[in-house]
Amino acid sequence: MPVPPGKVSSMQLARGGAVRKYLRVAEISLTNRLAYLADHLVSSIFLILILFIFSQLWKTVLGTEGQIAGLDSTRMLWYMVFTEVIALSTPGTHSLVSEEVKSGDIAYKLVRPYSYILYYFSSHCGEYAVRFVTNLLVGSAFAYLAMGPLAVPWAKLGWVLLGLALAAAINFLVSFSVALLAFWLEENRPFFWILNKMLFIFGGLFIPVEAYPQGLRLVSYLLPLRYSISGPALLVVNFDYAFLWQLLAGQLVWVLLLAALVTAMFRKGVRRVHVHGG
Amino acid sequence: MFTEVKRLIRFALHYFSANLQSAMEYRGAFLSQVVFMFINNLMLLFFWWVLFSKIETLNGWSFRHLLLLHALVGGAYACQALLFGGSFSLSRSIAEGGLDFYLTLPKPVLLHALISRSFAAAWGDLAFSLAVFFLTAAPSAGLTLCFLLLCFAGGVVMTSFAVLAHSLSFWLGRSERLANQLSEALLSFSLYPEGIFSVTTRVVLYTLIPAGFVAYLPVRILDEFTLARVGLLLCFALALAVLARFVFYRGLKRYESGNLVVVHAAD
Repeated sequence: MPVPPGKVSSMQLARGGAVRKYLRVAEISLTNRLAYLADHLVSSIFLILILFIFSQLWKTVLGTEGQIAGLDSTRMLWYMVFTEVIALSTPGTHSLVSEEVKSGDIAYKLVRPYSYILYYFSSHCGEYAVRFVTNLLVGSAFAYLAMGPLAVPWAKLGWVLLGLALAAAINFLVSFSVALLAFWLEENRPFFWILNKMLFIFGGLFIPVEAYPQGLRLVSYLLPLRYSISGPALLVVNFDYAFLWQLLAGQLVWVLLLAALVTAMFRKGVRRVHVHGG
Repeated sequence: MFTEVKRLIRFALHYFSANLQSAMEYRGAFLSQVVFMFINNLMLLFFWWVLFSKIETLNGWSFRHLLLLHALVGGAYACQALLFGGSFSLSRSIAEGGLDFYLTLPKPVLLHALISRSFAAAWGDLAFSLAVFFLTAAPSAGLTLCFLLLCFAGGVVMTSFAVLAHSLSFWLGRSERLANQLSEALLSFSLYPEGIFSVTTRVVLYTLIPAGFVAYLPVRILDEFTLARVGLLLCFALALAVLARFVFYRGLKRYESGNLVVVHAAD
């Protein structure tokens, strides 16, 4: 029988208030990931591989004097450490959600006493924290050995962490909204491929978007991806208060817009769920 | 011997055709995968376009070389994924006893396991490869034939390397992740120009992780054709295939059946 639409969606969202419940979900997710720490470290081999290739590339292209977007070869590699760490630490929550929607397993989650969106957000944050720390340790160790240290703005660490946290939220919301397309489309994987590649371009995964021609730079300023990858990384390697305010403003706007979009998509999509006995 | 080779080629073509028909069954999904894979690959070129707008060449590599490199690697990957798609999941078959199906049939186990799967999205890689090649090289019929041969040789190198990596499962047990990371390393190194790497790294890339034979040498051949280079590439591809076959069958002696009863159907 069809799930009463108004009832389910309002119940799902009303349950968002109990912060402690979601902190517990995040903690469980974090503990689960800690159990597979060795597994995470093995996964970091890919990070080392990419950083190795780019350390060679930037040494060749920039040498000791050259700069791109105001960054020399050492800071370009450190920039990439942070963009890659952000990208690689983002858990595959979207595939879980996608599969649940396609298989209909979402029906089991809908009757549980929590908000579906907040549950996955909390779980995402717990896993992200573990991945982020392990990837950052591995990436930083490599960059330090390959190119030398980065002058870290320790006194401004709080601002940097805030930027990184908002970036994680944007990443979650973007991929969650694509995952929710499964309510309407049979096959939504190609959208993830495109999203991944758009991260390359408009997220500035390899090179700061400031290095792009003006038109493309403008487009990337208008999209959320730059605020979730390139922006926070640039803030770490080239801290500047004017850039910080611009970044935080953009991040907050995108978090609000995307949260509204995800909520609207979920409300509309969940009305299409039909629960059958069995 | 020729009859046997002809029979095996016909056998492989039957599987190829069955896999293609299976993918085409869901035409919409098939087309969307192909189109999106094409766009996906196109976006990879963006970084190089930005970089080469700031520099002329990169240790002798121009943007044109980069385009040829991506065309060749796309073609080689398409060859592996379309013709020998089973090479991506060999270690899982080994660890979970999935080779039982192939062992009971009167066909070569390795070849059968390799050709039994095909990835529809790789048609997008092939389309990308051909499109970039035609736009970059404005080729003659001979050069096109040479390009296809180079892609096939690159595909054989990638497949053989994957077989070697996945065969580790015979000795190490579950090592799917390691095998995938080794294959990923080969693909990643292949997508960057040789000119950025130090001499030591290049030695590794022409031996342990043979990206040189998937990408760098084929680009040189397209740039400056010599029979010696083509001969070297083909000999290496053949030797690696023979080595992969040897290691696989050596490992197969250690294989333990999973006693699995499964329905085997083309994906």
